[in-house]
Amino acid sequence: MPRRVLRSSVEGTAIAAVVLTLLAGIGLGSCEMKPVVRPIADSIEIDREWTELRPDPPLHVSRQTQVISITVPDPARWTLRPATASFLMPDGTPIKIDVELIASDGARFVLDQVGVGTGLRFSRLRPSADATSTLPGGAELTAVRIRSDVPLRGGPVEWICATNY
Amino acid sequence: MLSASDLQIADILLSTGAASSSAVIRAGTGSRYSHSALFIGDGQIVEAISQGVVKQTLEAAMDDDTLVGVYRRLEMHPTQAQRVVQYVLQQIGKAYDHSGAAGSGIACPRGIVIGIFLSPIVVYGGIGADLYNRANPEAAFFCSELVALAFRHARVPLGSLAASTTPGDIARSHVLNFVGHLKGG
Repeated sequence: MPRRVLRSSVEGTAIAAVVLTLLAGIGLGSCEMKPVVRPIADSIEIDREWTELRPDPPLHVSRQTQVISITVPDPARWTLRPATASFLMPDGTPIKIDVELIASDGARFVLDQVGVGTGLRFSRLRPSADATSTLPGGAELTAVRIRSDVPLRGGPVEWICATNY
Repeated sequence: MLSASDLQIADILLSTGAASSSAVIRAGTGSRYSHSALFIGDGQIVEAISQGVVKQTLEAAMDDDTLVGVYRRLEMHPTQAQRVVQYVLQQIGKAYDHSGAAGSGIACPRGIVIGIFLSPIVVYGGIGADLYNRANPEAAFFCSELVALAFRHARVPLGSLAASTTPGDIARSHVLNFVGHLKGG
């Protein structure tokens, strides 16, 4: 094969490899950035007794961060994590909300109030610096238990798995 | 290394993580950072993430970060810092702007070069998304857009074209002072 043809063939292969790598990277990055959102309940009323939601099929742990979100009206006016409660409601009432997840093997994961977006957000920190997700990757969660010291109506309740960037 | 107690209201946190999406953003924008957030005091930040604009605890927001740098606006009065914080608090619950984020990334110089290499359609689409976002910047936000618009709203802009700002643009802004690292670095 003439040297010139061989050289252009190698260059073409190299360019194609770079393009494919870029496309694969962008594709992978784009897919990863889109969160997995799974509705668990359309609405919810919680009080001091545990309310147990049993999603069918069970929730699957994926991505880096897993969040339970409880939608509430006017979330921007909720104050996050004052000294003695989970949140302050817009009228200034403190409210303590407990959220825990039960895995198919019986393991229990207590979530912490971590933020406010379209709803009240509950998650947990990674168990160690080298852990790739906040909950064990691939775990199946069969129940979500929620209670609060002040009656609260909200919803939808969503399970969100996301990879941040 | 800084600690949370070193932070001041309206400090900008630029960060990145180990995810491949972080690597794509870093490569596309030519920066060591892929995300930005705003410190609002009391151990909390506001940031635009894929689930929308959220207020989060600092520790939860930084949990999966490998590098966090703190940047502070030069010559900003405390009342202007409060205005920056008020602006981001008013945006909580709004949607994430995926097309605006992609548009700003493609419309930046390095993004255009990569886009031309891939396909002119990528460049046209990216520039179109960027122009559309500049016309409707407050309908939804991506991370650095939220931060840049907040400072513009308080009349202490970080640079021009706030709606197209990338984390790399913030890191390179001549009106910001690098304070130090909260993590990594």
